[in-house]
Amino acid sequence: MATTHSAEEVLKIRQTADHVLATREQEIITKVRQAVAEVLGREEDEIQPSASLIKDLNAESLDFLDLLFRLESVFGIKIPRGGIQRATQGSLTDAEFQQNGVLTEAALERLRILMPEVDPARLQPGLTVREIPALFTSVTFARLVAWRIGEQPAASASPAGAATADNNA
Amino acid sequence: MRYLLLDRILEIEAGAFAVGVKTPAMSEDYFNDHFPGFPVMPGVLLVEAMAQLSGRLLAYTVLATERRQVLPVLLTVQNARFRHFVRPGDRVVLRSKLLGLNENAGRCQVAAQVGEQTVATAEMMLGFDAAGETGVIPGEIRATLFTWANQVNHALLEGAKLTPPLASLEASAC
Repeated sequence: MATTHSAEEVLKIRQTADHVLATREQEIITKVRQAVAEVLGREEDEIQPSASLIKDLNAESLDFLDLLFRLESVFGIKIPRGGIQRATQGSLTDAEFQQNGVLTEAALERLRILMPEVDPARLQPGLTVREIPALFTSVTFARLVAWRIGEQPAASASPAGAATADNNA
Repeated sequence: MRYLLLDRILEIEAGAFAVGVKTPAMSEDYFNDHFPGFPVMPGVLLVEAMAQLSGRLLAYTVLATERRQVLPVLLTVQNARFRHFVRPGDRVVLRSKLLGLNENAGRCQVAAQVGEQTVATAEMMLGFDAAGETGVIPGEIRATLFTWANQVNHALLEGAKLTPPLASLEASAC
């Protein structure tokens, strides 16, 4: 039962992102690529959709932190801590999500829904939690941005978004 | 020279900005060598002043919004520009603006001015080590460091305009 419920949860995220991307894909992808290029000190044409930010572009956790701050200010959105990881695990307990660091089938199912940009052949049993970040590409972040834009209440589109501290921690 | 690159903090508005001042004195050791006969405050020290001010802004913001004590640690410096020399006796006014904040880190944009002239600008990220948790600072000296930070804080903040007021936070903290 947990699996079915959990799949519904990520389907909603997926649909929110898809809905926003349907009209704004080009704009979002372009701005995310620019941000990734700036953070990693690369040319924009090096940021290919399939390029793993970690494996191909040598990104580290510090770069992801920087990238998330930039995306928040560029798009006027708020990205929760561990945005992708948190969305991936969602309401699954640690035991439902991973066993000794290896992702469960429920976790893999969620990843396949959340990260359609990743070749399903890479989302096979045996994949570990620690290997997830290596799957991230610029498209992953574009989808994350689209999801957050879709979640935002239409009225509160403050320009800088993060200019004031949130109390929601 | 002590490694305190702020003389005083004038104002902090939690979640928004901080203003601090530094007046490097001719008696600072580094003016002997940087440069002989032409004393100029090193740009890296201006960056440190910016980082110290931004650290106070972030720590105050986290205290005000989450009632959590953190020790900010410099993670990145971006787009640092040194536009004009800072000479002994110049009153450098630093303004740090909060660009982004999450539970782990904050990002600030900082400008340093002497009079009307902007002498340096930079953006920076600082990560947080929280009191009572593990972090990048080794466990055995964490308590000492937090005590030290508190002492420095109190001295720096004397007479500062603080929003919300410090007393309201200290009363509700812990």
